[in-house]
Amino acid sequence: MIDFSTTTAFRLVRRLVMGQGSAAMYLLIYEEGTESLIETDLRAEVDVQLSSALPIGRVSELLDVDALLGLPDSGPIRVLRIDRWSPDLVTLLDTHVIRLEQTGAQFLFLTTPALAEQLLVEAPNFRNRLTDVLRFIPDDPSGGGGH
Amino acid sequence: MEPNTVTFDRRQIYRPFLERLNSESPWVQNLIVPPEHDPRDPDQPPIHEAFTNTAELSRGAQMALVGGIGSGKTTELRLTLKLLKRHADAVSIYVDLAELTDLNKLNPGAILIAIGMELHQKLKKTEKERTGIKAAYQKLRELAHGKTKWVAVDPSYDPDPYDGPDLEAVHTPGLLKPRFPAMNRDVTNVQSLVFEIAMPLLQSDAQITVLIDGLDRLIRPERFREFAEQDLRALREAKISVVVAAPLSLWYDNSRFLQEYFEDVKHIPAAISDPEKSDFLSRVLLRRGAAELMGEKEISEIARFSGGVLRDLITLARTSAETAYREDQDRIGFVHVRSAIRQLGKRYRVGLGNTQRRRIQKLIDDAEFSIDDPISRALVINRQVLEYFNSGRDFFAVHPALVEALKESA
Repeated sequence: MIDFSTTTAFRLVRRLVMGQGSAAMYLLIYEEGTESLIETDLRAEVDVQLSSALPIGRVSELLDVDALLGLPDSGPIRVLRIDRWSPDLVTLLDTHVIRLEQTGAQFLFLTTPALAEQLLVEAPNFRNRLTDVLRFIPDDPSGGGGH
Repeated sequence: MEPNTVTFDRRQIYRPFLERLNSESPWVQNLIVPPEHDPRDPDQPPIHEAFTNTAELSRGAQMALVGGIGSGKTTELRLTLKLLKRHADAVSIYVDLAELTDLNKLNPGAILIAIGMELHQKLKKTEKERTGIKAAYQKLRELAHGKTKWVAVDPSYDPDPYDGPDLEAVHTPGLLKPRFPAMNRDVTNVQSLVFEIAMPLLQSDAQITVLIDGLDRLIRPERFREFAEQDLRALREAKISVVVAAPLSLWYDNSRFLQEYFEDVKHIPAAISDPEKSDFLSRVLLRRGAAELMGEKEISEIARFSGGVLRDLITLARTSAETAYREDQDRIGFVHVRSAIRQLGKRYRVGLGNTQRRRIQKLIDDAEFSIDDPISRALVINRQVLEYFNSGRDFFAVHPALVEALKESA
């Protein structure tokens, strides 16, 4: 997998705070086994820096067009896990990525290196609309991972 | 914190810039820098002007716009829509199909329904009250959203197979093959409903133009052909002009369907402007307030490494701003721009196998590249290779951000 820049929940949420009000989509790549850690970090950072709860769902929810239309109501930041490969899902992301963008929300897509690579290759529209692709690692428990 | 202390908030430096880079914000439409000429031919007017002129002079004309991902097709359609308003009798509608429905589950007739419903919005209240129009609109709504009807089961129904001889249709094809297939019955039905709704506008001799966005994102481009042959053809009989965004792969298709079917086809290359020869890209950034946050050197570096692709220009500016903010800087420095270029290059590097790398290397070393080769074509569609125009000649070059990423990985 290509060595994309690394980020942590603290740094990412800081970035999201600055970009509030502008649509954005980040593909966040985590190493297997760190998923629950980074989700906990993300929830905590959003709570501290934005004083809000962070809904975390599965990207397969987007297969439901009604759910897709209801996205603007689901908060300014939305985390969607991509945890398995599905051609339907890729088609959906590729063709409806603009609809996600139009919600004005910031989307964080969480996935593994293998799925990220497959997605970046097979969904060119989606890839080209991504704000950034980042390797996402848990915050340093010693507290030294601020910057 | 001391009372009355003014605290410095760096977010306020960067946020307005990021908001101006967000193409989906309605007010950003005023910041668009319109192209000065056709991207393929500096002697021709810009695409939106050409399309507007055709729609104004040849009512019922059908035009297609093809272009790479992020090349600015939607921008051109929106500029066309704006320019069409210069005549008071213009009735122009913009339909983004991806916004309305799941494109890959779209059936023939659906586009026509969407157009009919939009046209209905343009009618005066008294026109909407007319019986024929009211009924046609009601039927269109039912066709669009479906309906549930409860019916009693008929007890006399007897599916007796011995009522009479079963007949099977045997079709002998004619000798003259039609240029386009016949319109299917559902589409013909929708067509008559749409014409009923459009009647008041057509009778007043209005100049009607429909701009259709989204169909360029069809995963299977052959479906576009089906929509053109059914839905768009149904509009030809009325004097309703159409401008539609079409999939880029059809531009390179040997069947020349686009050129055969449409009166005018315009192609926007992914690289809308050559950053080495034009300051168009720098002007786009300056219009969005880049000068407040970075110097000329940084602006020019972003323009250069965008390769001329508008969306990459925006991505590089945005990532540079986010990097500078992350590093607690009040301005975007050269180092932040370089970091953004590396990030973009890595994104383009993903998924390049040995075959693709060989094609890319051949292009870099020997300027050899064949668009007829499917692997090479995929590189162009994915923007890893960009198409440029110079003095009427097409040529290809590897995306400059990818060149950097490849050098780094070598």
